[in-house]
Amino acid sequence: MTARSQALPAFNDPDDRPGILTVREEDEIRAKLSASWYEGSGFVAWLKSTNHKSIAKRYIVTAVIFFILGGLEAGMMRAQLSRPENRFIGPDLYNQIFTMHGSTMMFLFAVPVMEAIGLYFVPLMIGTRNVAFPRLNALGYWMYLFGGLLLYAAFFLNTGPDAGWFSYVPLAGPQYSPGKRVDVWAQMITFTEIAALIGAVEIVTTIFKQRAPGMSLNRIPLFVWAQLITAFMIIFALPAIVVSSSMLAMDRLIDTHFFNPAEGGDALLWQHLFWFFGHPEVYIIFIPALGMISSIVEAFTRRPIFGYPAMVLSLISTAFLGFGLWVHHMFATPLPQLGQSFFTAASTAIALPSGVQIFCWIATIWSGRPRYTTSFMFVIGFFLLFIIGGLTGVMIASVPYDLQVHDTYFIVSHFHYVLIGGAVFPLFGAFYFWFPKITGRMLSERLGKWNFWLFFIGMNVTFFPMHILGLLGMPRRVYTYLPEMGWGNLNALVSLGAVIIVASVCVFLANVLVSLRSGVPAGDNPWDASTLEWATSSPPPSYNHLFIPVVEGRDPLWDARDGELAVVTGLRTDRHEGLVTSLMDAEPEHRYEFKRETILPLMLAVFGGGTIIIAIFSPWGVTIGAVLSLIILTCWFWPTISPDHDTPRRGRIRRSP
Amino acid sequence: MRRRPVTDVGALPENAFSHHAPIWWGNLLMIIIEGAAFAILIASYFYIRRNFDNWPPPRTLLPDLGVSSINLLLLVISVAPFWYAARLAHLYEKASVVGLWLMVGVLFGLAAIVLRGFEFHALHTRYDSNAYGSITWTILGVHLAHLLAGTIETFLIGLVMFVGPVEKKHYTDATVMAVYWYFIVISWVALYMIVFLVPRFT
Repeated sequence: MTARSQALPAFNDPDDRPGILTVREEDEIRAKLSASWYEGSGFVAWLKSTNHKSIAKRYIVTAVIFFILGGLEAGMMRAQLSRPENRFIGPDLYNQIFTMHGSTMMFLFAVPVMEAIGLYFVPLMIGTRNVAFPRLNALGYWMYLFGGLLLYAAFFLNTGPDAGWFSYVPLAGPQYSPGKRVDVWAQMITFTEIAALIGAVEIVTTIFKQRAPGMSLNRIPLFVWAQLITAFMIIFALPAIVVSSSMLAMDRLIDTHFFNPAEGGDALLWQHLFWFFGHPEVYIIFIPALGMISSIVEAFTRRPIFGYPAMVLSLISTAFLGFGLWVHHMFATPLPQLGQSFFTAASTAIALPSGVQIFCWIATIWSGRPRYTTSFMFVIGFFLLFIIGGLTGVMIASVPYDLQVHDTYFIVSHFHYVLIGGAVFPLFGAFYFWFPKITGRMLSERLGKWNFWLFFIGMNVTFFPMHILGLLGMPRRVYTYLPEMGWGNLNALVSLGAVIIVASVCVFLANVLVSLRSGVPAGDNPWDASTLEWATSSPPPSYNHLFIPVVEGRDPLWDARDGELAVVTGLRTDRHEGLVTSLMDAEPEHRYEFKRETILPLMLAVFGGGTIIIAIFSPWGVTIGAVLSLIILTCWFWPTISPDHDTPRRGRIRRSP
Repeated sequence: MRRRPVTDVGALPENAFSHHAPIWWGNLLMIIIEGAAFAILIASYFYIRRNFDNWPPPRTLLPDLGVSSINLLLLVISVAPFWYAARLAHLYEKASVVGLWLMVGVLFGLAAIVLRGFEFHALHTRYDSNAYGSITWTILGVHLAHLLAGTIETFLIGLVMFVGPVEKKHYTDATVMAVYWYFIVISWVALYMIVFLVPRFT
């Protein structure tokens, strides 16, 4: 036996129950793991970190900052629209602001924050020490950050994109959008799509191969299922925007003709490709939220989710159907009638799996003992808001109705109900639920209730009147309107609602700041929840779990209520070692060394990102950047000298009989 | 909460091949992503084609079959060295032998890259001529990017095999590299048929 492995000396401890690790044994392992998983302190160490929790925390904080920026843009739009013929912002700036609002909320807030929460909690929930490819994960964050910085730097230089978050051609094409504004948009997409795809590959591989022994597919927490399914949606949907945004950039920069009808191109091709990505995108945002709801409902009703198989199948069928809906964004274009009927049917059908899940949650709450914490309140809010948004969704799935309200505020209202109600409310619920785990402190429930009620009321005051405005004929994306239209009062009400939402978010931020400083210490499992992230301390140590747990049921911590958690021993503690298990049944297969912290991901993001930005101005940027990136990639691939590679393991658990 | 050890995994191996290895999955997902991108390009090709009465457009010659067919043949044959290198790697054969066969694969890759240059000429159109030129050049270009990436990666893995320090996981890398190369070749078979054969059967 040597000090190198997670092997234990035999102690004669009075505390020693047969077959149970003693406190001294655990402390010894804890000291070794803490030493080998320490990434150093200081700014440089921060830049080099490859720990999934550090990366995910940055992701979450950055995404929340973009949420605030996107919200401020929404506030400016509401200020402008609060009365007819307002002169607060002119048409050009207004176009930039609504494009920035949509692009920020979709690409820089919603998708990243949902993936980030997955990147933080999936490894903890499945009982592994890090994501499968830690350096790649860091690269994903840096690419995302640089994409966001590019967009906002351009915006403050009056080069913010102004053709909408969907950049329809021909408006976004070279003829009608000269200058660099749309190029900035297209390259911001490049950054964020790389980041999202990296996150998806991490999540799928980690869930497939690194689950704790015993966590067979039918024991995965529903949140992890949701993340897995979302990751697959990202993998299939994002290539469409990769290809189409590149085509748009090429049309603008090197005179290709993909979307130019004069040379055989097609403007509708853009719409097809964009929405083939854009509609699944909605579900990429929504499905993780469904997973969060399952986690929250389970913890606060203190019973396992009703209908686990139905829940999983609903998630999967939502994801499948999500790919068959994109044309409903294009009902106002000349489509064959058969196509319209098909997409109407698919758009209506997707209400079914969502309905199944809502009934399962209702059954869970009905038969459980609900605790109305802030987190749970946000879930209740989700039910009400999402059902309203879902019902208007079924309405506009029908072509004749859609043609009436197309491009009006009715649509704006619909998708804010589904996105805020369906994704942001569960997300805030998740913030209140998991904040204690991430920071070690509880958020204030008193401020939380203020946060919830202001948000819920503000949300309805803002978006419900928009239904009526839409039916009155108010078009989307206009920077002002005439007093004779009679839309003034309702718009003033909508803007008042926006003020209430701003107040709510301010309460949330205050709650976070106060609680970080003086919140009640959380302890390991403040909610008495059942999944593995609550088995470790709050905040979790850098190696996540002291020992990889062995899972014997769907709710490991409730199964372990006798106070004993089955664990794995024998992993090396002197390096970043994890356990790889089989895909279906999570049987241990082999040990796996995680890559350690390094500056290379940041450097690759700088050079790769530089390439993408220079390419806006000159195609040669691609060549130069490719060479620089190749140098970094060579360093990345090059084996590091590890003198003891592949040595047989040293020592094993030896216990006194 | 007290912990009860139930399994000791210390005796498990440190490396694995095929679907047991995380890197195999990472690679497979990358292949799915890029395969989806190729599928989108193919869909765009047929979508754009609907706008043309003649395909290729008037005054554009049919793409030449000569150099493109040679390159197709070359790529199909290139599967052999990769397959053999992967087989040797799977058996943990001597690193330099695995590396040698990877380098043979690199030679095939380089030849395919050079021939790709001629294939662009064989299209008899330019990316900025019309939408037909844009989509065909883009398909060839995107696949060229794969050839470049695949060849460079193979070269690097082969180089590691020669100069080391070689660990068991590098053998897994070699087998995964072969899988990626198969993807490059198989996707080209489909893309070749679309770019070079479809216009002949319009």
